[in-house]
Amino acid sequence: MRLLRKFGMTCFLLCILPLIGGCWDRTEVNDLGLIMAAGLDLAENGNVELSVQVFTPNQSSGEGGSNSLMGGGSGGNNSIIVQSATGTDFADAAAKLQEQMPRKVFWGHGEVFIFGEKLARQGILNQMDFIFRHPQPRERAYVFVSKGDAKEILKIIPKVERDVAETLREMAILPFGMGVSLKDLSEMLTGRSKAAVVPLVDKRVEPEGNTFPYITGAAVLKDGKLTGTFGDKVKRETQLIRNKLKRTNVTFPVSGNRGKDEGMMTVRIVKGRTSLIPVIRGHSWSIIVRFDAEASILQNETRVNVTKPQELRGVEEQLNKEIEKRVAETFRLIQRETGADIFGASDAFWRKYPKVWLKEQRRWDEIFPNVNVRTESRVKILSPGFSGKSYK
Amino acid sequence: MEKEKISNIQLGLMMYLMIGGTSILVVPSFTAMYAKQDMWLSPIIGSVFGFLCVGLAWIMNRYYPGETIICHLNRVFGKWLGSVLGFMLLFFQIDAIGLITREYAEFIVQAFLSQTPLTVIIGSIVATSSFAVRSGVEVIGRFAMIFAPIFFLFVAAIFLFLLPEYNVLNMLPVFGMGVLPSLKGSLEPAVWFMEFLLITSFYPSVRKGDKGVKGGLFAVFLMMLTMVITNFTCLFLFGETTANLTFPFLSASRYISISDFFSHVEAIVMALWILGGFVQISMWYYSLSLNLAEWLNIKDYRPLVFPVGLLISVFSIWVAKNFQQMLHYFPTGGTGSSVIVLVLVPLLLVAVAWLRRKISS
Repeated sequence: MRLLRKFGMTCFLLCILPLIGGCWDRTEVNDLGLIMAAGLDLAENGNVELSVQVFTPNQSSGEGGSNSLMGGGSGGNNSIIVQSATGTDFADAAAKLQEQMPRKVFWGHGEVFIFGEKLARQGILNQMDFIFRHPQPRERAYVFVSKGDAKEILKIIPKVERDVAETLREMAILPFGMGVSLKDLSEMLTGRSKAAVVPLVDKRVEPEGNTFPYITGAAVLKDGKLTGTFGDKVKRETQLIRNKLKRTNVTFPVSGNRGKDEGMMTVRIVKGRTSLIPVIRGHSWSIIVRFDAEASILQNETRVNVTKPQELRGVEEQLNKEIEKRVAETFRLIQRETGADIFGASDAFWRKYPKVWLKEQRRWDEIFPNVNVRTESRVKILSPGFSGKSYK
Repeated sequence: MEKEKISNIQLGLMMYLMIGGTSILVVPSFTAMYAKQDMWLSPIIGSVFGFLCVGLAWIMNRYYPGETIICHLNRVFGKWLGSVLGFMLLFFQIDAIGLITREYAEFIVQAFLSQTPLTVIIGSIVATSSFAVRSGVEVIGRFAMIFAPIFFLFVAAIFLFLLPEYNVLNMLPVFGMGVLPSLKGSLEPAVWFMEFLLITSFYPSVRKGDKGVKGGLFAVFLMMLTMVITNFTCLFLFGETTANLTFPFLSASRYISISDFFSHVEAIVMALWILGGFVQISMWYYSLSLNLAEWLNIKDYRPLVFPVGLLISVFSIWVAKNFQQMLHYFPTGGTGSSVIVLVLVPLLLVAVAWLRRKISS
């Protein structure tokens, strides 16, 4: 009897053995086509063209490593392929893409999503839904808008990093760069202001044949539609106002010290921290952008002796004035040209004046362009760098 | 009655896991829906029900030591009414455990094993749990002793790993829309806290000399802490978008990336879920089998374990047609039935028992 029971048990355990391997969801690595980056462009008849950068694991074994080290010009890394498919929307194009591919499409490694400029002007909300809904794409994937077609960016074979996806991802996480993750984007798109700012990527072709993607500015989306693209400076100042800029360099003119010392000076700013302080007085809404940071001098083209504390004070003042001017200009530019609150001003008002906000939130699109902005920069120069007086 | 004994600490940790598993995944989303930026307050308010239910269970245990709630019902309300109420409780339990099992399986299918049939996952966890239940309360107690601390540590670790990403301003303004939203939001965690009433099934097994009420209250407190931590994680990371996510805590864990190399740790949440799910289902399973045996006047609950297991599997399929329906059930029917069975009936029970003692003395 006991033996029989043991036998029965063993049989039972053997029976469940095939089940516990999870055979339904068995995936072999060499059956996967890992999507590293995806780009969406507007195609004819309102369709979308999906281009993906696929990494195929087993091909890269052997020569993959050495190839990227040597950086062979024309061939590049042969385990990275760009492929495209056209469909009525993202999901449809993805299904078409799967039909073209012998490997199972896997989105879990997709770290970069690029929207072409034309598609972005039409609106990205519908296509974003696929990325948010599909279980595989990660919340930390970065989103970009490209100048021109996204496909052109994906096709680039950069020399510094392994591929475009890696290049853009690294650029997004730099402390002085700009990165907007899927999580950030969903927060901005569904937040109070319904406005988002996304880095703008472009392709640079050097005459010597070096081609690389880089972040050239910022794209402003209102209700999911691209309403304006701005250059490098606006991008930096926008990041500053949004409290995302931890490090940066500022070059500013120094003048007036005893009337003769004129020239440029550059400081490196670290530990940047911005707070938005909203004020409502009657019917006038205003916001104070306060920026605190530490700086050290990076280049001095003036006669100012930066080792002297009393001379430094004037320099500090001019630095802060310059930052204040730039920040206010950017804020007003965005207000005027897009009317999109990409700075999180609405959140600031809601946090400080919840009651007023609840009453006025429907009118926010009318209020925002008229919000007064005041900037307060309180950067302190803490070190002259490794050199004392300038060489003048 | 059961001869196996558990210690007070084990009781606390068991109760913690009995409620814990499912709460970390769906509670943040539900509370965020109503309470918005005050979502962290909701579990604290909801925990009142947990303390209340543990208190009620403890009072009944003091009145009639060594008996489960089915016996209490029979003693206090008489054979007929007691049996009817007992049946109600049993029916609630089978429905709830079906829901829990379904939730467990749905999460695994939705998030990880999309090709695997639901029935296979349900069947495997119920089979595993049935062995644990047959081995008795001591085995579950020891399992909880090992895994409850790990469970809590994982939750805390995910909270800590995300520290660099947090936007603490997300929690402002506190009570921006008044107290009402956070009260509304607290209804959901309250349902989980009400389930602490089922501690009655375990009180008879606690070793003599131990103060069982402490173990229960400790579990409620730990559960509250866990819910506050998970809600804070989601609030600081996602803000009000939490309400729009199906599994906010899983999404949060996927966001972890430390120094660019420590990332992709959602497998931890999966492990957490399976550990928690296993103990949770085993506990409910044990409680149900024990109560059913009592209700049927059977000395030993063990012969009932496998039939009950089959019922659980079937109920978990019946309980909802799809994932949306299951989620919809929590804030609607689930709340109502929990309030009736887990709060109102026990309150009545304690009140009548108290009156009876007053009159007889």
